[in-house]
Amino acid sequence: MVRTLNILFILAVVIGAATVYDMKLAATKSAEKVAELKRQIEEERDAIRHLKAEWSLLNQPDRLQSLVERYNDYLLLEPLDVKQIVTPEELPARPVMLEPIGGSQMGGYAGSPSVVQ
Amino acid sequence: MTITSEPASFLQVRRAQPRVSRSSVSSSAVKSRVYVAMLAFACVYVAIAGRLVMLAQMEEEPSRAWISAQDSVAASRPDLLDRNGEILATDIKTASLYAEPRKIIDVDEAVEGLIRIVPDLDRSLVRRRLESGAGFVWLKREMTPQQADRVHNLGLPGVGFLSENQRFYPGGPTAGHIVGSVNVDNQGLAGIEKYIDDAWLSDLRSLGFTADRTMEPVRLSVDLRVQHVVRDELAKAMERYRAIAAAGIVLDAKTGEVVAMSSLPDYDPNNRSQALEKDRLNRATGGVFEMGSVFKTFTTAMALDSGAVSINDSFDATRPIRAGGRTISDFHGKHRILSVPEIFIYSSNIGTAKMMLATGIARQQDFLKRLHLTDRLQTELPENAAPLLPQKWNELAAMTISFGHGISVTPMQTAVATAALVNGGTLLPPTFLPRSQEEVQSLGKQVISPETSRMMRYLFRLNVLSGSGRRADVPGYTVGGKTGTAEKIENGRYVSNKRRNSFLSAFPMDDPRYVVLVVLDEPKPEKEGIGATAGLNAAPVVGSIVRRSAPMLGVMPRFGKGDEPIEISY
Repeated sequence: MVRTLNILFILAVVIGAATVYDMKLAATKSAEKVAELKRQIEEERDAIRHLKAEWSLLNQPDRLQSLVERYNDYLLLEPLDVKQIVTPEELPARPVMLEPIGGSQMGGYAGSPSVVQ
Repeated sequence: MTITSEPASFLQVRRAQPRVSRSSVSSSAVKSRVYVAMLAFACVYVAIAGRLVMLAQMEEEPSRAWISAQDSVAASRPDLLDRNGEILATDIKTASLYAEPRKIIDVDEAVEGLIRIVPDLDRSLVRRRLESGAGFVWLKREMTPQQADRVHNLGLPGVGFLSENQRFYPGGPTAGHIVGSVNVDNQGLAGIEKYIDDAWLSDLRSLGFTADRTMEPVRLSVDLRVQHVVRDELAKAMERYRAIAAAGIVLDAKTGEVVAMSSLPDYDPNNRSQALEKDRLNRATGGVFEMGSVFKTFTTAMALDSGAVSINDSFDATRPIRAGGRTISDFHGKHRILSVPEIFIYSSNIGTAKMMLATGIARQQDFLKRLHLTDRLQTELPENAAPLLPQKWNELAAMTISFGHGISVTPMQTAVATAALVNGGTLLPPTFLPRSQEEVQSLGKQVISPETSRMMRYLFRLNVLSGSGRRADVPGYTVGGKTGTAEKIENGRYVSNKRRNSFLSAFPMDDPRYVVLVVLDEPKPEKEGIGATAGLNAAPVVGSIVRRSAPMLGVMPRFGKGDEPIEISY
């Protein structure tokens, strides 16, 4: 009876130790994975910052100006003229082409397509 | 021989019959085995205790130096953005090479390998550093990634990398004076970088909160596109008129925000050594100059605001004025009686001096003080020069001050005072950071009446329509402004062929939103035979700046009735 109890207790100790070791190993592995993910996130953030700096460098007004000056024979760009800037309110309505009722079999002036503004 | 006895613990069970146990070992032998086991365990514990004592006594020099180095170099700074979110300054991670000389086995091999990959290292210096017994030495900071890879592949023991934040300015010299620069430890030296250091960043760093932490970017009021336009036009003007220096400011007249500020020659903040050259100082806030005829705007505003002079008055400009042994005469004088608007558009020194005399010298001092032209104007930039005032403010000094000689102010002060004159009379301190409407309400000070401001706007526009500022006009944007051709002083005397030309303007003149000031130092005539007055070189620069930057700033062109119709196609 004592012997069986002893054996039972010894088994319990062994199983308990194994379980604890297992849990500790799993926790360590999780911590490693978290640290690895954090490192990757930092790497991505650095890469994003690097790319933003590169984009800003490529998008600088003086670089774009020198590119336009160099390739304008091909691009054919011109500086904005003041007369080209208008507000939508200043634009007149688009002309509408109306078909005469009853088809367009009429001749003469009555048969020409009318323009309504 | 054991005798049956009472059980001492629960593990001992009473036997029915005593069992004769034959012990093969004597009790003394058992005792000695126990003692041996105890001795073995005691040795193990003594060894552990001894190792603990050893570890406690070990010094932590090497790791302490490494930790402090990593802290100081990983200190990050916030990004600087312009008002539209474009990056003006940012951090980039680079590798910095360090060595722990105690761990280096073969100094010669290390030196050879490093010199081969990084040729600009000083061989003797590197050798001396590696042979010293120090725990931590820097070898090269901020290396390129390729160099770092190759040094890493050498496989030298005791040599390693720390990642450092290097400050990078994508715009290069475009906003160089505004943004400033940093030293190799990422501490601000000039410009807004130094400003945010003084304001909060160095405190944060000393508390240790900046190690490798991303911070909220700092937004400035500067517009990168307009800044580039100003710098580009100044560079072209310096080349066309062979000037030795130039400065340009675009100021928001309603809020006091600086939209663009450029001073040439300037430097590339990515290249720190250039910042120390004296010629590359920021002339817009750090240099004081006699502004010349643009100062007549302040004299005219003062005369009109005081009520001593009305816009319909006339003054006699037929003869030069004599005062204190000097003669004040006009450049290309009209030699007749001039009305106040004519005095302004013909830039008459005699008329302006007489207007000042009608107002009084005391009022002039008080007015210039109100416009903040006699004290140092503080901005966020660290370099702000104090104006130079005459030693004695007597009648002669007051008369010369009235047309801009005898007092030296910074271009920024001139622009700020002009903004007060044209925006309805509210003086706002300039700022490089965005300003909300509530701050504008609380910081604004009324310096002239709105009626005087209206008259000044009329005079500005008249000067561009029929005065010396004709070349600054841009159709659609009612530009108004005043030219200023100031002779420079050399050895205490005015030199006639060296000028500092400026053009002070605002647009659109019916409700000015922006003030533009351009100063050109020693422009030469563009071609043989034409002059080099401000109307010929500074005014066209302002016209170009307004034409290019007004659409970016959201100023709509306005054409009066009777102008040409708009051509559209569907």
